[in-house]
Amino acid sequence: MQKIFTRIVAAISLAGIFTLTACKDGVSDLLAYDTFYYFNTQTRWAFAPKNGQSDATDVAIWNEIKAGLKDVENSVSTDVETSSVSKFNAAAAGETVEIDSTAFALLKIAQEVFNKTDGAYNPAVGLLVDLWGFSPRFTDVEPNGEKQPYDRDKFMAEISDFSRIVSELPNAEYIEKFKSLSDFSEVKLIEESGRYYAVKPDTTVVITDGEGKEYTYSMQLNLGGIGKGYAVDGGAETIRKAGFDAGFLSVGGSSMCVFSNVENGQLTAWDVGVNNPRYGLFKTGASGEYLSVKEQNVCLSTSGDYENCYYYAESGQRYCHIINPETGYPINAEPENKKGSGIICASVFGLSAVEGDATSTALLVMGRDKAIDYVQNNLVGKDVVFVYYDGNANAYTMYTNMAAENYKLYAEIAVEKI
Amino acid sequence: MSITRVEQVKKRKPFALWDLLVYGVIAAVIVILFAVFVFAADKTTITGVRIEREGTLLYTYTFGSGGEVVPAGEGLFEEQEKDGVVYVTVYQDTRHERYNILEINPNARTVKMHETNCSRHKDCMYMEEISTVSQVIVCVPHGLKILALNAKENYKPIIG
Repeated sequence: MQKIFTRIVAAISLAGIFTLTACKDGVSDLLAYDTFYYFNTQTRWAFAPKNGQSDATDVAIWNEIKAGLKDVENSVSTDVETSSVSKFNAAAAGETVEIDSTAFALLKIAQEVFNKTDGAYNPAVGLLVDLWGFSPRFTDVEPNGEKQPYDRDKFMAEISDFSRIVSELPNAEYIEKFKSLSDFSEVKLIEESGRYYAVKPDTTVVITDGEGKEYTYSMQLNLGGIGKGYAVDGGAETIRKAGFDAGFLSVGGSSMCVFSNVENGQLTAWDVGVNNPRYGLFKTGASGEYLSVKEQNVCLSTSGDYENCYYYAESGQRYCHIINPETGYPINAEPENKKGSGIICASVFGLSAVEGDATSTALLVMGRDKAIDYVQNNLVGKDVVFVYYDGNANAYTMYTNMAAENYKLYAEIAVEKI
Repeated sequence: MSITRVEQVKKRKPFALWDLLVYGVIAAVIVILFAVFVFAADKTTITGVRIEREGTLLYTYTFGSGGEVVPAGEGLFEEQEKDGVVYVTVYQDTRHERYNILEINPNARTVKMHETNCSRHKDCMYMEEISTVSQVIVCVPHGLKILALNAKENYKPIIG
């Protein structure tokens, strides 16, 4: 009996010793810096410190990343009055506006993706975004900004109460008027003697309020969606140059560059989780992901209809912040699409983060058939995945060009290979 | 209890062999758990601290970089520096009546509660200073939690 007792105690002690002395050699575990200050969202840099402990090197890199975020935000945020985009939006139709180099570079990229996607990605829908209630004056903690004649009174009251059920939609007349101000191909960019300019199209529309007062509107840009990706690309470049090869950098959760994972001191691929677009409906992994994809040293972006959206009380239809520039309505909520069919989320791996941001948004706007064509013809060699909802059959299908061994699907939905 | 039963109990040894075995196992488990929590605690030094109230992040302080009030904490913080030590006052609300003052020493990389008017006992002022990632200071009356900026999490890239 004494022997058995001795063995039990020895076994427990050994287990304890192993727990205490478990160690890894090679690359150390990850640490992370977070900031919640830029773009009203979380930026996280997870990294393996060079000497196992944080030191001045990683603090300097983190400060450089934050300076880059600040630069992009100050350049393109419509929340910042002095930003190049705010100056462009405030300018009169036909005016030439001097912009900074960051805004110029972003507008150049936006033009490229606009042309490539046949206008599916379009940053000139700023007024439609505001009309539908998704601009910063609605998404800040409390609705703010100047009241507009097209504002919906009931809607304003409902969102002030943080309701996601609304009983009033925009007037169709305003949708048509603002659609006519969203031709991004009319924006001209000029680079001259080291200075940068954007020429605002001279098209205007007039809206009259209940008291007969006239308001004139011209094109409004919204580059917030791709600004985060641009900041991620800049930050990732800084990290790579400094020789940090493990971890990831993400801004707002929708734009990210992943480097390598660290497992038992070795650099390996990450299992990147893709957030569940239908909470409570899809089965998920431990971190709430509907899909996990093996990736290493790539940038990735995702867009979806599940965040920043509301529901119309009368029909239950979902209205999200991604506007289809062709119809002027939020995607999957056009008047003839009563059952909300369409792509509900799309993720692109392997482009730059800024291109990925624009491309994933464009895929949602294109709809299933055009998106499949686009992936087959323009995204060869890049990993793409999107989920399509068929409202008539009430069924979800995941479309991807990835090999089955590169991902793990937790959601119990059909899969179609592109 | 009958006299016979009392006599039977008196005749027994204080501890039977199986009793000793059970007590021994329990003692071993206690010792191991104690060792795991005391000696195996992560001793990684902190890169800074974050201040949360009821799960909402209000403020971060990064050594070498300084303090940053996030939008949720605007109007609730004041910073003062004296002899290389940073004193961060966290107000409960914009009336600035209830407060905690944190003492952040960037050279020593330590953070402790310097002053508060949270309660008569001021328990948070007597909590151990934070210098490693496994330590935390909590002020229950004010709902504050101060923890390492690099407190260990399962870092995994999740997009969307």
